[in-house]
Amino acid sequence: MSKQPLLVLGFILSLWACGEDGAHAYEPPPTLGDCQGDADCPSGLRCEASVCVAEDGRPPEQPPANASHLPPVSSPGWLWTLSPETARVTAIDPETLALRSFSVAADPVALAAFPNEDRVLVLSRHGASLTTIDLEGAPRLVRHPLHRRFSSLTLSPDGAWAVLWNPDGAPLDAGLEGLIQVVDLIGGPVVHERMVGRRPTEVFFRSADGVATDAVIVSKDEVAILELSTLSTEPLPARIPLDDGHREPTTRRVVASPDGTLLLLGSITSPTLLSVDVEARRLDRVTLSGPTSDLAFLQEREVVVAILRSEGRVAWFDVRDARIDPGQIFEEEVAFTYEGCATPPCLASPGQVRFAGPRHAILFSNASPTTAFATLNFDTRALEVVDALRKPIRDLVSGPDGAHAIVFHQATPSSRADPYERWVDESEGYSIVDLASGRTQLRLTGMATPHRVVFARGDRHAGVILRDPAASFFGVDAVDLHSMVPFSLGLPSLPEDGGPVTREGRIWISQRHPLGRISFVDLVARSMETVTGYDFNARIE
Amino acid sequence: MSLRWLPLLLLATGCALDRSALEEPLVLESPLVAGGRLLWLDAPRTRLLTLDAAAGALTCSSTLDRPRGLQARDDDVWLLGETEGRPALHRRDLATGARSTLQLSHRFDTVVLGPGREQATLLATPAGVTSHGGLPILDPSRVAVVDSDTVTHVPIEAGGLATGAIYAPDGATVAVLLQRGVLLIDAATPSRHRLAHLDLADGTSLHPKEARFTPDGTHLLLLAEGTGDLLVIRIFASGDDFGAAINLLSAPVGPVERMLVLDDEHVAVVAGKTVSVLHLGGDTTKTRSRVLAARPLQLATQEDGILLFAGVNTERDGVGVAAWDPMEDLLDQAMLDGALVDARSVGGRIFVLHRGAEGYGLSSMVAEATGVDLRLRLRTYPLSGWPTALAQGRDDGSVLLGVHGGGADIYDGPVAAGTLVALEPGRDSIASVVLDDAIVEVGVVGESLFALHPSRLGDLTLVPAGDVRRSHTKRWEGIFAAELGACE
Repeated sequence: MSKQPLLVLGFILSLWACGEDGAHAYEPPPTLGDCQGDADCPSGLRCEASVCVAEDGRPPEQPPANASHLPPVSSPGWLWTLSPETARVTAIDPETLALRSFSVAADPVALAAFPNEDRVLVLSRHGASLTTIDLEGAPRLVRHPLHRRFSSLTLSPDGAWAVLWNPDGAPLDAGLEGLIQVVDLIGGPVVHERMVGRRPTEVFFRSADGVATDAVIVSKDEVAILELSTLSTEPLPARIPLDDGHREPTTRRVVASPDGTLLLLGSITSPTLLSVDVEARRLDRVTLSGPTSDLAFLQEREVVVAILRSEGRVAWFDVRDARIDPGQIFEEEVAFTYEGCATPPCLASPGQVRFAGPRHAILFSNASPTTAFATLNFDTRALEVVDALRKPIRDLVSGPDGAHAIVFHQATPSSRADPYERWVDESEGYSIVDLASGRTQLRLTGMATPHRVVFARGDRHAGVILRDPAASFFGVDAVDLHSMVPFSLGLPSLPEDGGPVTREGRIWISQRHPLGRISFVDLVARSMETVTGYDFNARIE
Repeated sequence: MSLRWLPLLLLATGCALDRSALEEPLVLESPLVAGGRLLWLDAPRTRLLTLDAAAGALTCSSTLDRPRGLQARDDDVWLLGETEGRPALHRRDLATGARSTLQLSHRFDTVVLGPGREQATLLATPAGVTSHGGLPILDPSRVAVVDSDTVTHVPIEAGGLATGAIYAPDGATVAVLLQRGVLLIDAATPSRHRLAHLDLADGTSLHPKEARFTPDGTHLLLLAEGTGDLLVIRIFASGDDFGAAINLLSAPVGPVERMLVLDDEHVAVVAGKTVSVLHLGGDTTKTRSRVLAARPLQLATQEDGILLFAGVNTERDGVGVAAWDPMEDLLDQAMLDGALVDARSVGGRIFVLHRGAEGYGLSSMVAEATGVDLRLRLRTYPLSGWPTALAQGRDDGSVLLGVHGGGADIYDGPVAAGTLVALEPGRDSIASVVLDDAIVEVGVVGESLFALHPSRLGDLTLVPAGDVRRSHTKRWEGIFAAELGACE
């Protein structure tokens, strides 16, 4: 028998197997896992002891893990959850626990709430549609066909525009690299299709006086800018190519100023910061004394903070000033010593930044087992080291009041002779930190991993979500930030996400359950209400 | 002589009897208690037999054609049937003799009475659909909500056939249980209704099997096949809004097997050997649980909130009994010898029938809280024969028992076929009377106790509840054979 027919059949089958999205042919981006040689690491990193490391011999900082689920979103009166399995969106009144459920097109993948409205936008990938659900008055659901399949949705801050796109790693629509849709939600909706460069990683909007004016799409090699007011007449976006040192998504950080006017790209492999002036469509370069391990805009300001981990320094500056005058870049030594590491002297060189209010930055690292962090006052340049932690930092979350933080710790193997101290080392846990006094309180959680922290409105209470799937233990600690006393409450199933509700001291915690489950926790009263079974509520007629 | 051979005797003697009256078998069913009367519906002969316990009078009255769905409350009797081939609802006030018949546009087989005197809901159940072979087809696609003379039909558009219905204690809502859903109806305005489908995303469904309302009628609790969770349906009824929201409550361990509504906010559930009190709002911080030595089959609550349990010990022979104060988390447990025969929750007590090496016994259990401790009080009454019937007595906490073969040890008389025992452990009161026949059912009718004997024609004994003596008994024989030839 000739092999030719089999080859033809194989070719046909391979075409069929590729699918309409071409997902079959896609190779995921390189990760920072084990390496055998430098070639296994992203560009600019090298392989040392089977780990991809930066210039300073430490791996890149680990950002908070992305959720493996779609977290609920809040609107003024409702909490909205999306169930991809059943293609339903359920709105829950956090006060009365009343539910309303809506059917959307197949494979919903993204959910976004319109600003200050009880209205959400839902993107369905296989259903190739966008659905608006409106609970401002009588419930209203409107479905818009897209004829394309996208995995991500970014809504403009004014709710007038949406960009539909396939982030780097998601299947393409019909194999089309860089295809996006920009949807005018006010005038139609009207859909504009554009090509914006391969492997997009971020989408931002620029706003002027509260009105979205430009859509900004950052892809692997370039930044594309679309002027929203001329979309119907201008078929091509403005394109700004990126430098070679800033093209690797796994080693760069991209941040936008609060109004989206400025875009900054830093890299753990380059001391140069790229600054994109969205309005002027211009790229500038700012050179710092070392590569950037983390980058953030200070809240409500165009002041950017860059962590230069390999130099043990932090830099901050107004981007517009620094472009003109490098002398306007302020740098400060932030490496510090602390007690308690295995082989002294213990030197901590922060790699990440969080903000505590408008004037303070919290500097820490989780790339090496560090048990201390520092706070930096931008006005006085005072650096305060908090070294009272007893376990290494895994993550740090600061409260909205800027006065407290919760530090998640890492469980570490221990060979200590003292069984209690050994247990402390090997246990999961977190610390409550009073940033003003530097006082800390450790809470050991055994095998349960601190998963999320949610600060409730009112600035006094936080919920620390704990989970130990192996032992089927799930819970939340209601933490009184003033007294630093936590109180443990059990959760009925695996918690996934959490957030505050309008009422002071109250938070929601979504959980994994085949029928949908969410708990509302009163951190003050230490009580909990749980709603299970969104699907049933969807089918009450 | 028993009258059980009366029909044959009458036939043999050529007595003037409507022959058609005997073409259908005489089958004695359990009587319905309506005020001070016992009612039997003899559907094949379209007649209603009424035994007035106080007057000692048995009367027969004709009914609608194809009578079915007999229900009664106090003196008010409801019955479905046909007049001139058309479906109808018949009502009769046994005290005044007033009768009324309401024509219906659709056929049903079941009447569920509401707490209001004029309220009822009519259903076509799967049993009715399959068992009424000769009946014109029932209509399972709707239910009828009756309020006085007004009948409102509510369509069942999905969810399968209606299997039952239950009214909220205040009568504001009626919940119709469907094979795969629940139909909630605003009883005052039946056009306002909500259908809750119980279909799962994987194509399977939940099937309601037991339903209870909370005392305030705001929550309906469901046990359903297909889930180990307790379904809690919150009902919103305000202004123009009539809605519902479903929540699922899980027991801390295992699937929920039994439930007992405690108050407007709490329910006690049994899952294996674990008993729990769950908060209906889903506040799991208020969950209380205990693991018992035995798997409870019966549960009850005392007025002081203490829960009582009786069940089977799965590890060794014996009947496990327990008292638990969930608020104070105090527990007392004990073991009764022998095997569990039956257990009934009567008022705030549980009565347990058990069989040990030395025969049958009836145990009454009650718990006493001392402030710092909880004590389970058990009192066991040995029975000289085997129990054949058990029912609630005249008061909460009292029980009636039918015993075969001569009665309890407490009776000092000769061995007889059946003994009726009235027991009030709270007052330490025991009364019994030996009857001439075995007993299959016991109960209270007005100021009397009744014992039903095993005869297809209906043999029954009445005795005053306040004076249980043989000399005061009155026996009725062949109730179904009465007035076979003529009926008013």
